[in-house]
Amino acid sequence: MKLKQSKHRRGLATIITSAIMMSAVCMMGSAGVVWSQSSLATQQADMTNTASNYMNKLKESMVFEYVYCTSDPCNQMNVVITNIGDVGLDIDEITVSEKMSGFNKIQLVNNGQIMPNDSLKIAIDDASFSSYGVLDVMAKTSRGSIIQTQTST
Amino acid sequence: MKYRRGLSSVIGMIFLVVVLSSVLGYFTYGIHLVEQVNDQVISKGMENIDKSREDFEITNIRIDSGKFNLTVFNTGEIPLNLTRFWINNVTDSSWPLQNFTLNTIVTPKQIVTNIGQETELYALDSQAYSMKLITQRGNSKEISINSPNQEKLDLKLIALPETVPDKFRTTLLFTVTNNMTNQNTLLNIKPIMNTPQTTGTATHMLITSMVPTHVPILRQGDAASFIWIYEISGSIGESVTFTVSLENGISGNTASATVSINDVLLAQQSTTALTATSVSGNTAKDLLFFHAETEQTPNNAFQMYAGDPDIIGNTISVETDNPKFFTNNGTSVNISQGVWNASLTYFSAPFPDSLIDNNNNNMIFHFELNSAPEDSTENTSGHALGSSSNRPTYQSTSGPHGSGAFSFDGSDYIEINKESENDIHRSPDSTALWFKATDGISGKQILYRATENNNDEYYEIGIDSNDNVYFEFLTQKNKIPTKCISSGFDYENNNWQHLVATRPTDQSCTLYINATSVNTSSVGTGDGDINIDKIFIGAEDDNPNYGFNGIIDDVLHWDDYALLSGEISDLKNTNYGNAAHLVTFYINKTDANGIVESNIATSLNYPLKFLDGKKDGDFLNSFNYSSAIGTGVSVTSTQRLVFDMQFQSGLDIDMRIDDMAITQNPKNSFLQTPNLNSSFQSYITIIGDQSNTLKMYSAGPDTVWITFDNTRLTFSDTISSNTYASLLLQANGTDVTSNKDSIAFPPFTTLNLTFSSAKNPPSTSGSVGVIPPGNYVMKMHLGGYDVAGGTISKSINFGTVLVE
Repeated sequence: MKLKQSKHRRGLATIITSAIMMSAVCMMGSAGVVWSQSSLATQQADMTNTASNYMNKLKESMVFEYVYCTSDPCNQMNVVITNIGDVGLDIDEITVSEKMSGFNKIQLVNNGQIMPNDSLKIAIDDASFSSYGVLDVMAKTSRGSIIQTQTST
Repeated sequence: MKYRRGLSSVIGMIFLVVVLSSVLGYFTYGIHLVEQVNDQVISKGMENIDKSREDFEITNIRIDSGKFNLTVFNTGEIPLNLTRFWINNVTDSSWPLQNFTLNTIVTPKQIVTNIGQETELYALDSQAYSMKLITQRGNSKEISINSPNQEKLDLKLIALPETVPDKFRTTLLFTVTNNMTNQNTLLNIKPIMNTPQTTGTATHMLITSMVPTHVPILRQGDAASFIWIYEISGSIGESVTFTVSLENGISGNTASATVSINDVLLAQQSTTALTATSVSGNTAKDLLFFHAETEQTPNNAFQMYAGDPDIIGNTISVETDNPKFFTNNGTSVNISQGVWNASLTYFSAPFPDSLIDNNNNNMIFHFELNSAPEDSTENTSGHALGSSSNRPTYQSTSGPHGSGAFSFDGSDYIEINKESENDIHRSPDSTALWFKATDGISGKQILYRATENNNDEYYEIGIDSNDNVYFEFLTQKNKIPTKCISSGFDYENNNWQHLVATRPTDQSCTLYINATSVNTSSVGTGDGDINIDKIFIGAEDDNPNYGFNGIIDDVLHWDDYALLSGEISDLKNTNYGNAAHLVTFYINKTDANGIVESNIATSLNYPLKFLDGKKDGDFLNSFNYSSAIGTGVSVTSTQRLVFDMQFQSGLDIDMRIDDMAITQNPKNSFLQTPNLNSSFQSYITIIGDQSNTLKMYSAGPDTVWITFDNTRLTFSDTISSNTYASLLLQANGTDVTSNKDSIAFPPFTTLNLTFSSAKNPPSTSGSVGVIPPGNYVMKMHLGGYDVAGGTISKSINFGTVLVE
């Protein structure tokens, strides 16, 4: 009789223990799965964003169609930029500089959006332009693309 | 128990599978993204390739019906779409810059015309425009038209002939060359003949108006010609100056030609040119030519008087002769205050004395013209100034000594034609040049490179990425190059540096900067024989790579000689520019024996420009000495003027005087005074009561005969109006009469013409009316004919001569 009683009690404990273990495994497993899904989703989003930015930057293409002074002596310069790429771009900065003298004028551009195959004329004023024979002109987009040219005053 | 452990394992496995599948999905997505990026990179690369393959030319441009008409030729490999047309009116600044949208597709090798005809824009023939066509891929081409006011054009006006008798005609030939630097096409070229300027009583009459009336188009590099015919009238010595400009041209861009009136019409009538020796032509009295004769001068110095050069010429080594030129005494002359000029026709020695004999198997470039470089030694030729887009910029005064030099922008180059004189091979070799490197350039820059087509063997001088100067050569493929390199100093510093690279033996080198050896060298291996196919200055090749940024001048190369240290020092100190020679000039008044009585002008160490004599020491140019004298100068009849040259330093200098073969520009060397009231007496003396013999020289090309009837000497008293004449008696000792002409006078020979004593009335014999002693203006009138059927008619003014 004693033996039968003893077997019954051990079986119950084992079941309870097993249930606890399975519960623990389920909880830990669920937590691991949730964490891994969350982490992968975050990294996937970052990667998607990076790749997307890079591809958009690659698709971005523009040229200086015309750079000219509007007056003689030159104190205002018009820069005409044409978007020859497949995506819209946003010019956010034009820099006019001269290496030898260190002259550097940075003009921030509002409303610099150019749709594909469209052009944008940006006027830059500076009374000292006429003091330099040749000026470097650089345009930068919000995605970081840069084009550069030179113009004479 | 075993069963329950199995259940846990199954649950664990399920979670594991979930996690692994997520990770797998993540990687798959990542790979997909990389593929997308890769596709985009390839696509971008293809776009760039397409852009570089796109090319076109604007082959023609006209204004038709008041609108632009451009012709475009697709010279590229792919179709292109012209999307925009920009037009700027250069003449009218009130005209805004305009652009028009196009949509013109041009397939490869297709020519499309009428571009611009659809635009609502009207153009005027008389105005200048610059235009730009843009393609969809962003390429563009610019062209300018009808804008001679943008920069000076090469204009030339030539009178044919320059000297005519009274009421004879001359043809004026005007040429316009479109030498603009910006690929400018000129439209509707219309020359304007300004009102001719005359001297004395000279007049002009237009016989034939300008032909053609205009030239509709003149492309870059092309030339157009126009002619007028005028009849000129007036007295001997008078002239008419014609000046032509261009409609809508830049101010001051004109060409002029002066037509003088004389009895001579050699070029038109006989094509044979005669020159009287020991006589002056129609020389202005203020032009005191330097003569080679030394008779009647103090200390055997040279004669100086207002008479044409009269011998085959004499070359003076100024550095050893220190020449003096004296006028004759005998007349009183008052000279106004003003500028005294000496036009000196000379050439400079190509090297300093220590190198003077090393002028074989070499080449020299001084870059004195904005054109393909010319080797001063004339040992090599056929050199080229890069390509249209990689052409170095000529700067006429930017050299280390103020002379011309070429500026390189990193992609420009000069290609030197390979010939035996620059064909490296075995040692020794030397290359010298001046360079001024722009500061702040990264990477290697080539100054001079000779190489095989496959680049296996080369000879290269340049500046490396650390701003050190190097000289490196490789004599055999897969061997070790020999290299010399400077260290510890930045030569890329916007300053002029003189560089000499020498190769004394097949595998050794030395590098000198500013005549100081600066190199650390490493000895290479190979067969010692450098085979080359091409030579470049300023870039590695016509690709071009490793281009130089800065200015280069005075490139010299010796193919069989290694310069020595002393020679390099002399070369570095040589001025090939505005002060190649320093000469001290004195203009003095002396007594009849040449003793200085007073100084008129002194110019110490006056700089004289380097004048290139090319291979044979030719007199191709002249250079002026000038001195402004604030007071007038009086020279009495017992005094002389002396022009004294004392060489101080610099390259040797050979000056040409008294060369009757030099008749155009440059002229023979002379001193020009300000205005003077009468002529200095020449060195010619005539014996009044005897016959006198004068020498004539025939410059050819045909044999001539002199006739009695029209050949005379006339004398006019400088004080009174008394006049006298001599008749021709003999030619080379053979009688000449009204029934017998002179003996034949072959080209390039001298003929002695003997004249009777001067009388009034003139006669061949007797003593009635013989000219009394005194100073007279003497002229010779020559008549004759040549074997080609032409007529000789020439009048020559001797200037003031002394009759004893």
